[in-house]
Amino acid sequence: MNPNTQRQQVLFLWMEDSSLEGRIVGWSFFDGADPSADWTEVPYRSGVAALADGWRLIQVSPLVSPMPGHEHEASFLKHEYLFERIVDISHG
Amino acid sequence: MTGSAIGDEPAPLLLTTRQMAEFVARGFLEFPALIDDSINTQAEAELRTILDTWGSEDRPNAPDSGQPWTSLYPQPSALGAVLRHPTVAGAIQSLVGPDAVFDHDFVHLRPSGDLNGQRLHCDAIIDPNLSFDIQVFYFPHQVADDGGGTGFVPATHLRLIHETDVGRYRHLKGERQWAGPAGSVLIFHHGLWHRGMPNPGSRDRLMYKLRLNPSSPQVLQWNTDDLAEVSSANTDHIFARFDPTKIAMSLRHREPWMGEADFRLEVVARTRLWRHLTNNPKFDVDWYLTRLERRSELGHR
Repeated sequence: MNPNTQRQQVLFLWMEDSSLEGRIVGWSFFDGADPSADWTEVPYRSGVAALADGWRLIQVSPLVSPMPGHEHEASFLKHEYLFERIVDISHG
Repeated sequence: MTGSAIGDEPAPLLLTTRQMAEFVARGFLEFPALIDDSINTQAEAELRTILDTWGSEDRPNAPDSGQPWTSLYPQPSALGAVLRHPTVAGAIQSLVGPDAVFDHDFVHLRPSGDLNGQRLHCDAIIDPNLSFDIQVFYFPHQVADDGGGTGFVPATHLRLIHETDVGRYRHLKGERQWAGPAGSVLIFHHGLWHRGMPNPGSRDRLMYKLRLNPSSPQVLQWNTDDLAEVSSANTDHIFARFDPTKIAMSLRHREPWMGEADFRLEVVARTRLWRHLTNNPKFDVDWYLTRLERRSELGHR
């Protein structure tokens, strides 16, 4: 990436289960080329659809067994996928 | 059953069992256009006075944490009239009991054109208790769709998270942003994920928030006249026999942000809370807890 001409965009997607083909239940978009940018509508049908649109998958939440005694407690969304895309500054 | 009168105020209008189940399932209740405009106008002026005098000795009727809620903002305060409106007082009594106490309150002002919103959070700190506080949100004036109304995510209230640790989540399917007429009141479970939203609209947005703590068990404090009629059998099971007109179906309410695994844990969490609220340790929805409890007597790892 050329920091003089390019910026990183990142897209967090949370799926309904651990499959990248799953339904998207949450999303956050951050744009190094346009810090005020926000996507208020769900951008894709699935994580695979994001791949098909050119996003690179760079991190996946691990599958972790629950702590003994806490098997039925819920907290954060479990199935988080992090994508990136490099864009020219002029893109934003 | 009706609540007892507070002073010369009308008797509180207690919640029904179905309203309680809705609160347990979704973490909030909404009462649009509840308060008359004559009171809203006065209350808005009082809220601005509180803002102007915040933290000073000049603040009128400044409450103390632990103070009985019924003594907040005595007559002729319009804000007190809002809190003692029969529907508001009844909801408070139903959810946190007649002896609930003041935790804190705050006046939130979001000026027109302020594009800085809060990140998603729940208030205070991570809270593992089954008992819960409530937060009353009062909107003295109309809030337009772009007017900076409170954002929140239904049914997130029973998840154990700490403050802004969920701030990474910008959008979840089914999220809400409050918009509605003057005099509207929302009541949240303390754990509901929420945020102050940007206000690109043309009017400054004023909102009053009050947190209340229970002082006694939150068991059967509502109008239980309908409890026997609407209660579901402990054996109500969506994959066996079930009655779609009963409470178990209300507790199965599913939000768009939930996958199947999320949904089942939420049903279990709601079931545990309903057991507590109704003092019925055998209550169950879809047999999730019963099968584990029955089999634990036969041996567990």
